[in-house]
Amino acid sequence: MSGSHGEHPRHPGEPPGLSEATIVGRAQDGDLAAFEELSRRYQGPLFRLAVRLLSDRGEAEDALQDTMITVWRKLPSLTDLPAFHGWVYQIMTRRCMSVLRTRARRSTDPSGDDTFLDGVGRGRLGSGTGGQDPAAATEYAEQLRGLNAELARLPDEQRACWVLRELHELSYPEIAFATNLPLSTVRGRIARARQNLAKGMEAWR
Amino acid sequence: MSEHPSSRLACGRDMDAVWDRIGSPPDEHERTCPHCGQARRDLGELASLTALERDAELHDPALEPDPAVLGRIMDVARAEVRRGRRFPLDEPADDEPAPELTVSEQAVSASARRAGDAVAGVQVERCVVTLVADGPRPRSTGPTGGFAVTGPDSYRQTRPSQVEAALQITVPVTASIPSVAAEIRSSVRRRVSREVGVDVVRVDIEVRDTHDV
Repeated sequence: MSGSHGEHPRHPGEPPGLSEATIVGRAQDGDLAAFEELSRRYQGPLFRLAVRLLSDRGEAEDALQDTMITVWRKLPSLTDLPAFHGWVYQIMTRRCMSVLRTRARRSTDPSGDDTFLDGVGRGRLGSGTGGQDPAAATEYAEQLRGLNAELARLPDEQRACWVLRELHELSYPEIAFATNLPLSTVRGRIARARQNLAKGMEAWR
Repeated sequence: MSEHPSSRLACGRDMDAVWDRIGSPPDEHERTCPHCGQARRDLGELASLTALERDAELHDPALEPDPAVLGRIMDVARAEVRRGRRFPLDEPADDEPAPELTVSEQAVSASARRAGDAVAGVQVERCVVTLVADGPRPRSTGPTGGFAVTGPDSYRQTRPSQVEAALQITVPVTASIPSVAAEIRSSVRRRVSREVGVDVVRVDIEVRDTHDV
């Protein structure tokens, strides 16, 4: 079910029955069951975003925890219930960018394990390429590993915009809101990331 | 690095437009334009790998957080709910500043929300309850004059606290709003009184949207 006027969009994984806006409203009133439902629903996407941006599982879990506690505390101030989706992403994105800026100030290498996402990609060979012959599957897996490697090489701001757009399917305005950037800058960063990735992938062919 | 790369192809189309259409068959222009054709080839592999990665992420157990994280989040939420505002169950007398029995604002709100939800087709988005601080003074009943009594039989003729409830709801497209509102008001008053023991003296209802049944 969703609002017949299109004001209460359903998001992936949302069961029929209560709209997300209704669950958000209940959580605003202090309904713990509603807040737990929201936390369950968003913990996977938010964690995946944080892993992409931080390349560190421990830091991603800390960011997830901090984000959802911030959500809980600030929920009463959210007036536009259907905007919850973009609002949650904004809190997580800004949390991650803050961690990345702190790393840059310390001028140290990222604490993350650069091979983490490589390992993740290797485990997908079977599910993503079912039915292909082994040689083709191996080649595809190698290309996926290449994509992850090139993504990790992008500047942080480009990677954030790209991941929000292409892996989390946020709209350009939602990404501008999440990153606190003008829409034109978001478009530029995504276009630049696309060029860099396409160029980088040539080496993996 | 420029934030505004030149993404205009020689034919005048923008690479963004090519990317947006990459999952669809080439349109008439793209079928004959060498620039768009090349751009589609250049971006095609990236698009298919991105789609695969997006799908694979969803099912990758390595990209799920430790279940303990959710536990820690909920521990904080529960602790903070317990520290929330509390209402007196009975309206305190002038000479009795500290109420003996209280109920959390959240419990009253939850009861009112359940009452609203119990009306067919209604979904309560928000429910805010507020204590009526300066309602009419309690009736004076009983042989002792009500509130002034103290002593061993001090369970005086008290009156339950009075609250107001404001509900934001969505209703089925087919609903008659006046009759639904009347039913909600009755349901909220009855249920909150029974479950929590405070009186709801006013129920404000705002219909925020309609939904399909």
